[in-house]
Amino acid sequence: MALRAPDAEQVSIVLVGSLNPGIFHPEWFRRQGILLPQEAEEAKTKIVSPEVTEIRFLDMKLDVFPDRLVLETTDVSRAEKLQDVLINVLAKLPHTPVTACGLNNAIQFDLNDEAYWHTIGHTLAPKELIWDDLLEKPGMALLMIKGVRTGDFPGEVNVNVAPAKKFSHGLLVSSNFHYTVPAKEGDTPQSERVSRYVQEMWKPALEKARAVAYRIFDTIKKP
Amino acid sequence: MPTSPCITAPSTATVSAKDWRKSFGDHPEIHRSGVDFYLQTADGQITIVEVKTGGATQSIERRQSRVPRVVPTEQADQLGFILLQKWEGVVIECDDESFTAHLLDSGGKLPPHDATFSRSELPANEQLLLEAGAPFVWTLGYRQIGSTRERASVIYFRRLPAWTQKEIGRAEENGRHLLDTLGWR
Repeated sequence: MALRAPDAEQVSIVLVGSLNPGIFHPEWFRRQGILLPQEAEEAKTKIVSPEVTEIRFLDMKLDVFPDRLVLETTDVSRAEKLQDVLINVLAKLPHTPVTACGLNNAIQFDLNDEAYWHTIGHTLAPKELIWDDLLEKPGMALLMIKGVRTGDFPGEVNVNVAPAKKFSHGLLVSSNFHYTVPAKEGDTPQSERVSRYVQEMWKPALEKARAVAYRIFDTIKKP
Repeated sequence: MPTSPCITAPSTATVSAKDWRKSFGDHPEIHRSGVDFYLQTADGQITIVEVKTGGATQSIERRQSRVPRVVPTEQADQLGFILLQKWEGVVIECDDESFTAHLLDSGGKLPPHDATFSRSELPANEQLLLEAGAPFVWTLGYRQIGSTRERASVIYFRRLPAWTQKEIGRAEENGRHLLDTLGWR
């Protein structure tokens, strides 16, 4: 049976560290060869300043603060392009201290079935044991599950399951592959590891939310 | 001003607050938040308040400072893509009219195959990058613009930076290690 595609999807990469928002101008991307000239011309600059930068290009949105960079898109056909842009930024700024990196995917399904929607919520968060006696009509607003990731890039895998606001009876599943960059001597983060992390873990990171959603659909049947 | 604090996940997660919805409509819209929340005015303007972590990624270690940021609501949900199939391709050969590529199913479920595309499938910018050996991504799905949906085929070339000497050295070292492991001389 073919697996249903999500009805909406958002992917993003987050860097935490010490950043200079003022340099992230479309012209900088063009000069570094990350954007082609026409792509840089078509970029929309909302603000570029030492405190905050917000620009849009290639259907992506880039937010940069002194301690955080977020590159995201709701056009998931661009997922690999977003990955490439981020890897190129890291390659051009090799001395930027990056202390953590998150690879994020959020998918939404329009279940269009209120009974099934409640069944999922009640199965993932049973109400009989605790909540029915304490609250009137208790409902699952958010389930957060944290796992660990081993291997070359040990870290956390955080998965959230929640009702999706976009749809009347929708399901949102989001995953966050969190990586705390190990430090060298003197507490300097090994930022060069981040690029490899993004290259190697992007694909599994994007697959995790789908895997969770399909396990939910496969395990919790329609009433 | 009505306020709606909402939840987001750890500090490297970016699911926006607007995506959460409570499971019963008659519940008060209050979610406890340790990381981010937003304030929404009656006219729909959203101010996201980010609770900075000072580099820590665990919410219990948080050192709080608040940075307001105004996000116009009209920017939300303008464009979406419902992904049905993704192929990872490598150009085998190309001419003035078309190019032939070897394709691998990104999901690993379908067998690999070769296909020929017209150059006109590529946007003008992407045509500049067309050459034998160039890796690309081909996605098939529905493009969602507002309430309309249309079939879409999107092709773009990967733009990874060139290998660094360090990476080349590491690859050579791995190769030597593999050779030693196999014992071929």
